[in-house]
Amino acid sequence: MTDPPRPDPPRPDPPRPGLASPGLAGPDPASTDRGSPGPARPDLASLDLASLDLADPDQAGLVPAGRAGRFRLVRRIAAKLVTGVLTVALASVVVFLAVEVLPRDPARTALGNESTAAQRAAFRQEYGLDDPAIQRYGRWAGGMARGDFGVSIISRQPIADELRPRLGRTALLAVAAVLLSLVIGIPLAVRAARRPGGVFDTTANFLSVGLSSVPEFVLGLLLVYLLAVRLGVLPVLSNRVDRGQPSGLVLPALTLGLAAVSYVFRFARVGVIEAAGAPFVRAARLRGYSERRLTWRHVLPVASSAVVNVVALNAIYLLGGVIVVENLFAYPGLGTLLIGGVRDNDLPMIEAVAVVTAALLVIVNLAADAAVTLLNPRLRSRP
Amino acid sequence: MAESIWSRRRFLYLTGGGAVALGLGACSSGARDTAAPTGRPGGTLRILASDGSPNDTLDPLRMERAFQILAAPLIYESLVDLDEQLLPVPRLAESFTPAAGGKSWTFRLRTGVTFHDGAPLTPADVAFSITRALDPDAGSGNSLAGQLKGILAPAGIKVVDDRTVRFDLAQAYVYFPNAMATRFARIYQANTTDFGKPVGTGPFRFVSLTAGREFVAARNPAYWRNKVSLDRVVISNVAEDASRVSSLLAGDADLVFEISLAAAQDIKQADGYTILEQANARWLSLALDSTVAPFDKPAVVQAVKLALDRQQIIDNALGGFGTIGYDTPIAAQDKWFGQLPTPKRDVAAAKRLLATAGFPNGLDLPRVVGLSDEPATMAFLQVAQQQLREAGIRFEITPESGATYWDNSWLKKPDYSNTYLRRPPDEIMKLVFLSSGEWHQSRRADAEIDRAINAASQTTDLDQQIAQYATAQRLIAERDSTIVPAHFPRLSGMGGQVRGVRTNPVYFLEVDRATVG
Repeated sequence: MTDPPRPDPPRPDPPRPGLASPGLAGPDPASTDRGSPGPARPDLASLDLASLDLADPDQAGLVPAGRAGRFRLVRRIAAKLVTGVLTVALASVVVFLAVEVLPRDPARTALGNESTAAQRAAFRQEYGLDDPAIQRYGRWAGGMARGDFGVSIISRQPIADELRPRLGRTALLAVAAVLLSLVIGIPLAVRAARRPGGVFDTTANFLSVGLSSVPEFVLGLLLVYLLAVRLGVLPVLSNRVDRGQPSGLVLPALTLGLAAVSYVFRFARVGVIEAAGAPFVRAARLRGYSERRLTWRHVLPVASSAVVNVVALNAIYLLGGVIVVENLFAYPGLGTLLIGGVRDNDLPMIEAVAVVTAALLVIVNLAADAAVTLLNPRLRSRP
Repeated sequence: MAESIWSRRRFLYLTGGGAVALGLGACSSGARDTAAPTGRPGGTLRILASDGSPNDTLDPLRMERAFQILAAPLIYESLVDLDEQLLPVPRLAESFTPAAGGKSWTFRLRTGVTFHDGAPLTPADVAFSITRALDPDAGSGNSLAGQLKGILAPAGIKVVDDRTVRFDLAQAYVYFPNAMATRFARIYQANTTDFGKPVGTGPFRFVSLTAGREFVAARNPAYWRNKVSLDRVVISNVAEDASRVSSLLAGDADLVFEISLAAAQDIKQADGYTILEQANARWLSLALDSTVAPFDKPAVVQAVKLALDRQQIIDNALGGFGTIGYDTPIAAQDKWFGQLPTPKRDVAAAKRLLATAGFPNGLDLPRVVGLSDEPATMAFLQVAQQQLREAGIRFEITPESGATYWDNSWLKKPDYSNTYLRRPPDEIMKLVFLSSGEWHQSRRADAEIDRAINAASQTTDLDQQIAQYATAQRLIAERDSTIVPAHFPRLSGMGGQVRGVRTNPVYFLEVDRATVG
């Protein structure tokens, strides 16, 4: 299995003062309020620093206030929702067509090689597999739109019954991996950003690039060797993670989390360095704020929007990586469900998992946009 | 212990960086095996399989994947078993006796055999189970029902008394006991329609089945044949080979069923682990359609055979596990082997044959389609590609997944390669080498081969059967265009704490006498 494509670092949007970012904002300070030139930008030289709460961007005059701001926000959310729905619809067409062109007979897989031609023909008729593609797509998409995922042609059970618990377990794995990547990546980034180019920063960068170049499959096996085979502290397999062996979550979460650390580290590092160089931080430093207060109350909140974007982009990578990692550890999630569906020619299952995955990605991106908006004062309206 | 197995080569492999008659008069066995298993009683035997699926079931007529084939014999038993020479030996039947030259078979059941719910085994159970198996719509359309089509009808199954069942056949069939040994001929209670909680007579009782994930069985304390030592057997499905081997090494699994040849080499060299080898369990097949050019010229087919170095194929493609193939499905170690001369490579002779066939400068074969799901097949093709090139025979390889191979290429393309399970000679000869065989790969009709194969199945004399099969093998090796370069084993990795596991040609593993620790 090939590794899933990892997202390139996002290119920053060009500075558009006063307008909402059309998409995911990058860590470049030019795309944020910190230091971006704009008509409402105050002239720091003429301000009374003593009377100014520089940690409050509203006081910096960067927030589009009032009814117009709220309208833009609502319009932006509505546009994002429509785009999201269209994206999922488009994904459903692509997935259906991709599965359609596969030269396979699902009836043979479902009934086995011992089945007779007549049995397979009856099966195809029962499940409408001989109907025209447009008719089948309409039936399938219509069901999906009503929340009816259909019936697996292999297990003959409702897909939703299988999908629901696996979705939960995959979400658990993904959240654990994201949290792990944040818990490790952000402190490292903060530490490295104190002295860009220093020994710690250089070493951490080197290790980060090295880690990002290791495929999850290899990383997973290295962890298995170390933690399961040599130390014997963790189970190799996760197949009983939902049956009284929660420790089965650790190795897959660790594999995915460590693989994502490098991205969190690199983006957070850039965000912290840029935020730390912003005028209001410099001003706060001039007022004698401690480095700890500067970091945790002023720099990190500003740099966090960049981290949120990285987390959102990592979601794409994580959902790809989940397939590899779940299969490696036999974790009972969406990834193994998809692999099994592909192996068994379970077309409705493949389609359902793919569309649910697409919907998840859209939701994660919308959530990331919302989080960035909340974190970025220039993108939200005053209540 | 574990260190030696994690060699650089092992790591590269894991990370992808290196990249399955009788001749007989009556056959009986009244003795029960009362010998106690060796090793500490109790415990759970944890087995890992790799091909579980959401439609896993314990319906005996739907036994297609290893996961099911491993699980079912823990619950069910058949009237007859096959031994390592593929000869039928009694199991639930105490004896089986032919009459009228094999046109009627009488099976006498053992006494004291009970189902897991305490009900005794009766001839009515046998009649029900086999009658159901004869229905092609019930599941075994191509195997047991197909094998007995025109031979046994439900009306031919007669309950004689409270221990005896008689099968009156439409025609003599000397291999009928073999048919009663297949995985589709398991015995369950009469009128069973739901196999969700199966009840059989086997050494273990059903506990649970989660399709595609896990099967659990517990000891049957009332098992008739021997005392069962294990408390439980758990068969889990883990698709990834590297993860299964790692589980064995970490002590999370006791037995990994069917490991790759590469992994087996390393496990074999490690301390504390053993390889369970089912010899000659599969055979490689390179099928050349003799109705398609250039394979319509016998000289070309012979040239291909002469250009192959079979020992090199075993060494380089099969990791040293395997035995030379004689272009028939019968291995040299088999009782049925026809004592054919060892095929030797002769590149010069191959070139001469090509020249006589009109290809003095060599020839390009149609692309050979290989079943990519089978590493042994693909490795064989790569080695064969190099060997044939030296004789001027060139071909390219098209890997194709099993998802499409069996429908699109097998029995359809001019040349293709896959492996087959070892089967009793009657079954495999009639499938692949009889002119009317359903898997007749070569499409080359040969009345002499047909006569020899059919003659073997018309006598109850074992020596005559062997002699007829020897004739069939010689003719096939000389004339047919299905090439069998090697036979190779089914390998399973096992922890050193496991004792008493045996291989079986029908259901792969016997664990009723196994112990762990």
